[in-house]
Amino acid sequence: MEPIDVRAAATGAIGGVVSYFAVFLVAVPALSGMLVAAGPVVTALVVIAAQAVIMLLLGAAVALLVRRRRGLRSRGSAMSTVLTAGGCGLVLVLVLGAAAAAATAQGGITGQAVIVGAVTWLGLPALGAAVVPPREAPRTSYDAPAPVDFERGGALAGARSYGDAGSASLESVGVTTVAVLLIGTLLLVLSPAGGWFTDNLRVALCRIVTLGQGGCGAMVSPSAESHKPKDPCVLSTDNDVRAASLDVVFVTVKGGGTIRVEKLSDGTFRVSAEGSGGAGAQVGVGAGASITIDDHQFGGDAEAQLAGYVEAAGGATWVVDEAGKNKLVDYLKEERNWASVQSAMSSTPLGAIGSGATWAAHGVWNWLTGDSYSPPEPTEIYGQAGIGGTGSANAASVVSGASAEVNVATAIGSRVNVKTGETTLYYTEQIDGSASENVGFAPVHGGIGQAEGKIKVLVAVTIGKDGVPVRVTTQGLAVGDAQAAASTVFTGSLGEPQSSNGRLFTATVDLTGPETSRIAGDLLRATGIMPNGTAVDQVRGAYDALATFTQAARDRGVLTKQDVNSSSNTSFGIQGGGEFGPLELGASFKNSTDNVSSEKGYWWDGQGWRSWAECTA
Amino acid sequence: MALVGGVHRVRPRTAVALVAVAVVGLLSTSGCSAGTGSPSASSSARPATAPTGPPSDLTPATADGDEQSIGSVATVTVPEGTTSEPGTVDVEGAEQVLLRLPDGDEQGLPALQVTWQEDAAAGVLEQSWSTENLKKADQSVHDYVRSPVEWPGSDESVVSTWTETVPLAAGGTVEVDALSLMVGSDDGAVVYAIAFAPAGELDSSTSLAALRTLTLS
Repeated sequence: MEPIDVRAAATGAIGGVVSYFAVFLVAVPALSGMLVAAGPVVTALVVIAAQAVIMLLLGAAVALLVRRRRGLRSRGSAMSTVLTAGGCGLVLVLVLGAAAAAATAQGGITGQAVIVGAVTWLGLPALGAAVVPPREAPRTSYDAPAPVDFERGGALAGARSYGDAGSASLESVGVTTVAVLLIGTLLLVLSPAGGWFTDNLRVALCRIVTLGQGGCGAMVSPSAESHKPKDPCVLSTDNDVRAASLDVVFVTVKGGGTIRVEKLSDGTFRVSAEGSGGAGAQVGVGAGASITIDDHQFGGDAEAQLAGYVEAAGGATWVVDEAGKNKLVDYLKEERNWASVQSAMSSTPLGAIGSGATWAAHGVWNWLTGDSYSPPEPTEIYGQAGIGGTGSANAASVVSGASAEVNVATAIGSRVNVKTGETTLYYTEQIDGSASENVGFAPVHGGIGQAEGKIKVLVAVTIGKDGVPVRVTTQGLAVGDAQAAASTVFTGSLGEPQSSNGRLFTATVDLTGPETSRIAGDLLRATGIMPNGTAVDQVRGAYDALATFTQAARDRGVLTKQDVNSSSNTSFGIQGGGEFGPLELGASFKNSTDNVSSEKGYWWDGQGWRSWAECTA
Repeated sequence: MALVGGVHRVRPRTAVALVAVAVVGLLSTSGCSAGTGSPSASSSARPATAPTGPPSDLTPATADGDEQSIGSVATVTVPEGTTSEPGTVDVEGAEQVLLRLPDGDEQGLPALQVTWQEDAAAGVLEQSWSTENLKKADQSVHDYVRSPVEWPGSDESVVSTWTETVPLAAGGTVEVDALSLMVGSDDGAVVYAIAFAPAGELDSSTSLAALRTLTLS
């Protein structure tokens, strides 16, 4: 076998590593949306093809370099140099990947990464080298024998001719540098000072990779490193109804998934990561309770089925201040790019090859662009009940001769507050608005007809850590003809015409005593949420119970209404618990933002409506 | 390393040895890095919706009888004489069937109820997590436990067990043991099968035997 050309091998190795990271740290994340939209097979093929092209060019380039320097007697003459270049490049990539994995507490090197790496960094460059035809090296001055100066006792100091001047020392420096880099990286990562070094290196490289536009953070001085906080600053709200959303922005991230950012009236932010393919899915997958209304349905049929609750992609929610919001959103957005690609590839066998080939790049990407700390534990986790929450999935629906239920509410999801341990359960119930006649409401003249139609309400029951219910919230959206019915049941009057697209009513009663517990219990039993043990009184329907409940909210609880408008002609939804915003249903790969705002908010002071200053945009 | 023709060259054997040492050193030090497992998984991360109960020992089984189709997503095998009733599901796109086994008592137990949704919006872990929250808040449900289980064809599978107190129209109550199996197929379908039996009789019940024959298509 031909001796190895060290210079050519070093050049090839460094060039290959730089190309690998340039493609997989810059190009692939930038194209993640397009790749994922194209499907798993295309995604995997593109990733594999990119790696293949890099390696083939690496092999060809090294062979060409060898041919230029010393000539090629045959197509395989440069193979030893090419394989050395590929091997060194592989080791460098795996070292960086391992360092990134250690720094971000991710999984270490796997056999898959090594095997795929060996094939791509050794086999493909060899193929690339094989296409370079043999040729003699061009004649250069260093082919000439060194002149002998007997007076100086030997070869002239400049016996290495002009073309070779300094080349030996340069090659030695190159080899030494690579060795130092390899050993130094390992030592630094594993040493106690590794944290400070890797943090600052990460910041510097991140600024280069993202051209200064990424959330790279700031350099850390050695003395400050010991004071670096481990957890971000987190603020929490205690009552979502009172701290209602002022402004909701949905960021549909490239490659799928949604990040919802809500600015609350108390100055905090709720950041929710929804959908698959991202960090949000890691800590909680699922759907929150939502109601979705299409703009073109406004003013149309009052049937509640058009204003149906639609399960949205959900996951985890963080309640943070503005600084934490920026860091968290950056992290979630950046994590999603590569996570989306990995997720897309996972459903095809080719994805295993693609994942193995890009393991190091993905790890380094996370390391460079991730926040200086890992995201905190979510404030809340929410999940969709799906078919598990259907009212018939219980023994009471199966046992013959069981006590018959009148209404069985649909359980649509639940939310757990990680900090307080409270669990909120969400149910939907259709309540007949025409039953308002039973409680004495008459038609109102002047354009608003008799309250009728079905009102679909959301009922949220919050249960404390000790298993005792502490709060019940009902929410209804008044749109079109159902506006009158919803106004009636929540306010006790038919209300006045409104100019906004819809009006959201929320009534909350804290269960602080026997009477409030009884009122809430009546509602929950009438809606089938709680078992009643005996036959339900047919006179007292769900509408009655809801009207009594909202009366209690007006007397001693909290009742609010908000005029809502959406800036775009897309469906918007209301998330269980008081949040609302647009949902990009079925448009996961569209990169856009939508904004919905509450123009005017009001709260009931016991006598009438007052303007809710904090809730007015 | 030798200077040959002005070019520093390394013997191939030396180079191979150096690279091999580097790779071995890399692999050994990678053992010091945090965690093992899949490249993109944190060693300390697990879904917050993962089951917290001990792994279930429920295993699939075959049985003689009639094969009942669960839409186009699964099948179960039930004894001859089993009756089938369509169920009512208020989840869009979901269907349900109630299978009453031939050895049923006056309450219609044992029974096997299967609910499925072909294009589920949420996965098994999420749905079962939320269902656990709902069941635990139900005062008629006792001793609810949710556990992971291995099931062929399903990446994530969950078994839940509980006892339910059912009031009877004629007065009194009856205690019912239940075991549910929730599985998900690769194409996004979720199947939720519940075996009901009188309290204390679930383990030997025909409903549990039929549930164990659940096979994803």
